[in-house]
Amino acid sequence: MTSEFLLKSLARAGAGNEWTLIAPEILLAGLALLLLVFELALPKAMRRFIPAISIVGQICVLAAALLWALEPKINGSTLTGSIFYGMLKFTPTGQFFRVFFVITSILVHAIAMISLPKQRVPRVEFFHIVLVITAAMMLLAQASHFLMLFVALETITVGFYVLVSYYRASAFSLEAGLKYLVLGSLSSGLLLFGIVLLYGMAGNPAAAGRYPMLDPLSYLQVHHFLANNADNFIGNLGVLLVLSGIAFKIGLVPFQIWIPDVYQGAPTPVTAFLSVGSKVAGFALLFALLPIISPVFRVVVPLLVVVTFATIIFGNLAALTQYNVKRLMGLSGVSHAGFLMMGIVAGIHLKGSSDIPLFIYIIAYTLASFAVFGVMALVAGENDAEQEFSDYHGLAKRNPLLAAVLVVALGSLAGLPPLFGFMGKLLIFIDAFQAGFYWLLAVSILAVVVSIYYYFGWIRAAFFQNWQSSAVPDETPVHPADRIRVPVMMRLLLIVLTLSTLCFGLYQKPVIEFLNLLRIF
Amino acid sequence: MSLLPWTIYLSFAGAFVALVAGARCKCAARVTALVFSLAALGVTAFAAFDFTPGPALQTLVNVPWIPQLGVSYHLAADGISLTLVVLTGIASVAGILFSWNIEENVGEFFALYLALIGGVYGVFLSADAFVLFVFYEIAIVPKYFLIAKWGSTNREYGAMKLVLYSFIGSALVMAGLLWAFASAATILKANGYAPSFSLSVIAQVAAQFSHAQQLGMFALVFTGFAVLAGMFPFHTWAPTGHVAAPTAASMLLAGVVMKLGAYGCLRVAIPLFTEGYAAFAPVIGWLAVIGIVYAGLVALVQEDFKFVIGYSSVSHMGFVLLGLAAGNLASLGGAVLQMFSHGIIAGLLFAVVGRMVYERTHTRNLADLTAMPLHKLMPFAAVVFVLAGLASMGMPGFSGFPAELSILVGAWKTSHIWTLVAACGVLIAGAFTLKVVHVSFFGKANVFEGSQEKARAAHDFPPITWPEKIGALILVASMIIIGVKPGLLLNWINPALESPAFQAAMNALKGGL
Repeated sequence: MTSEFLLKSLARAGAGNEWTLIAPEILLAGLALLLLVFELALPKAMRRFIPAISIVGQICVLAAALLWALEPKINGSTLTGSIFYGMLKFTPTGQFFRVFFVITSILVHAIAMISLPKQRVPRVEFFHIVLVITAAMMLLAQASHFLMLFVALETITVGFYVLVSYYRASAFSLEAGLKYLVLGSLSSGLLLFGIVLLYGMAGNPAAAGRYPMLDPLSYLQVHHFLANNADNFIGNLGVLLVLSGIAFKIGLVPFQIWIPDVYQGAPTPVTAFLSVGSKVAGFALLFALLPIISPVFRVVVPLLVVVTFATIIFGNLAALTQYNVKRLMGLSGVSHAGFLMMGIVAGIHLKGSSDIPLFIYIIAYTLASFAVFGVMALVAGENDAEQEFSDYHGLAKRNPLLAAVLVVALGSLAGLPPLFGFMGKLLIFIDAFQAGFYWLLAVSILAVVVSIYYYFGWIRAAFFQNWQSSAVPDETPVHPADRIRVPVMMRLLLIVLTLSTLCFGLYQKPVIEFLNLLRIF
Repeated sequence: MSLLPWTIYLSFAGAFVALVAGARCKCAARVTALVFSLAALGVTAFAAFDFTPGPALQTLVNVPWIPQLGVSYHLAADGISLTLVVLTGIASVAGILFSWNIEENVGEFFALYLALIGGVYGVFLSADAFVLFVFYEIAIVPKYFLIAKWGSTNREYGAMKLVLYSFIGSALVMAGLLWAFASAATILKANGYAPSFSLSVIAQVAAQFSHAQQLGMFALVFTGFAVLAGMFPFHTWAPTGHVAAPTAASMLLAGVVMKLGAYGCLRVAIPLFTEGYAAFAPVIGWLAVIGIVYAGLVALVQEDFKFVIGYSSVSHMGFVLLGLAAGNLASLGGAVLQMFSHGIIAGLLFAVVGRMVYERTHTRNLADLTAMPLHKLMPFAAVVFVLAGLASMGMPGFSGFPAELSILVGAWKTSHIWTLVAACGVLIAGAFTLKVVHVSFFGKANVFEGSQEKARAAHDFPPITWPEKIGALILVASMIIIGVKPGLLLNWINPALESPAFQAAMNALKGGL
């Protein structure tokens, strides 16, 4: 089987058309370079259109990615299996994430177009780095080789080092950048060490069941090594170290320490990118790796269950005391990662269960998170790091639309029916029930109630000016300067995000059908 | 009958229209709200005339919603749901009349109010556990805003407490329902059927659940719903929430929202998990009678007029729970009748206290009220309050009497001690009602010897307005009609209780006790 597969791969490579399959990534990287050229070449008055150009370009890339995802063909025949000598592999989940990251990047652009003009910083480089990171994320989701994995992951991480400290005049941003750099390097180190251990073991010519023709860094070889040596200590250690590196991206306990400070210091669009893009990139990687490490589930899964427990509890309890909205989003994001992990471990237990709950959760989380971050970017003043509940006082009067968007989005994150977030949680809870994780479920359901408390605290700040003292009446009319102006496109975007959160909550069929089209069942 | 779902749609449509209309003119929002709630009441009345009582749930709509989970948008009604839908219709119209004087953000107020009402109608008409849960949650969120925005004393604390209690309750319900769904799905799958959230399907499969599962599911679902029904010791949200809420919201809260909890217990927990019901009924009975007496005693010593009514609500809801725990035809029928009756009476009491008295005197402190001869200053309010008080005490001729009598008769068959303790509760209710009537309306009247005009001049209260009078008359009339002729509702309720599901529950209880 393997030799046949390798021959096919070689034949395709020989035909020389493989690069067309990663055209979306290539186009995206090209667009990133083009933006820098525009910055140099265009007259000053025209430069403010560069982000818009970038968005239009990405919409084309999105179309290409969708086309590739729906019909992966090369040289006329439908594609399964690997390309580039086993560096990348076409999987339905990989294709979904490819499309997903382009959309994420477009939404980050939209938020950045609101947020960046409030600071005195260069603009174009920001969008350039976002595009490069996005291309790397797309490759990461399709990687089937540890070398590819590491290069893509490092591109993402290095890009984020720059983005996190992008507001270089702000001490918070610089601090966040340094913290992310130190802890990020640590996690990269763990990941790399894990890869090296796996490489060393899988590459041992004496190891049982080895494929002589396969590179010991490819997922397939590592899988075969683990399948034949499931209780190899170094192999297990390597898997755990690799998972630790991923846990850092996702923000699982005990690798969540960096989250509050970095989320607070990072510019709002970067916080959004971290909390959706980077987190989901971690999950995409996990999706790809789970089948590879399946032989050592006996060791890994109990650990993952404990981590899930700790993540759900920590995220919610820590978020309870936050009044800074960015820290709140970070810590509540930790708990969302915990809920997703619960879905993943339940899926492992159930064997052959549907992946759809996880994807619905991810989509619901993304829609709601971007709506919230959009509102945050609009409400934030010049001090981007210190966005407190008190900044939201009277939002309902300053801009009723934003307040309504905030209610729906936070309600969806909290998991209130009939919003989309509720469906995500419900489906995951049902899986967990069927897998028999009763304690985990009890904790998560309590956690949902806790999360309602802190999300409602935010809503309370937005609707009731006098949330700290009931004595002061909130009758004072709004000062015209306090009104928040929302650009038309942003308004449209927020309405689309909110309506889809609402409508998909009531009727999920379109989402499920879209996932089915991508061959995710 | 098939028009009944329109109560839900009309309420949600009304919410939207009121929001739009309220942006232009306050009056338009009020009229819109009134028109839509009247239309919903009209639909209900129309359906009620069309209704043939029977043991089965009569399906109104049934379309697949989420096929993967076996959820269908299944609405159905029997005599019990119809009774409560009628209650919701009456209470919502009266509530709108009593909030005619709201001046701040009128459109938003009525939009949230009607959204809440729509959720309540939805719960009473659902025949699918999932749909019921979704409507149940839809009814919770508007309460928060109604209280926190338009409420009074300590409103944000009260609103938050109420919302957290509600969500903890619904989290328990959700855990229990998911457990039941997942277990039922396993059994259904083994027999070659698709999973289903339908209450009737789960009820059929539930007979095959293990004893431990039955106990666990019943405990989760019943406790979750009972939090909202104000069961002791989970009742503490009710008085603070009621006191903090604006008049119309406390009318709805006591009038219909607490019934959501009791209805959930009756419709979901009891027929689905009959073994669990049989095992836990004694516990529930004791908690119910403790609640009746304890809340009554607490009401006796309150300083705040609204707290008295708040605790009296908890006490009266104790009777509903006692009726559920006793588990025979008389007690269950009485429990449903008591839900209706208490919905009307509590609405009226809160209307008098919150709207008629507080809006004029700006105090609810009984010590301050006693210094004003309110029976001379606002004779209408005094008359209405005395009538409502009589009904609340369980005086024959008012709806409270047949309901509580029926519950006590039913409870006697199950446990003599419960009945005796609960009967003490009736005496305590008499005591605190008479006390509060005396202190608030007839206290120290001799301070103002002389004519009503003179007394009114001393305090200069605006007269009782027409919307208030009409609202009060509607409630008083329904209270008396049902008091004189409880058969109107019992003819709907009793056949519904003869359905196989309820019979199975009652039989299980007979075997268990």
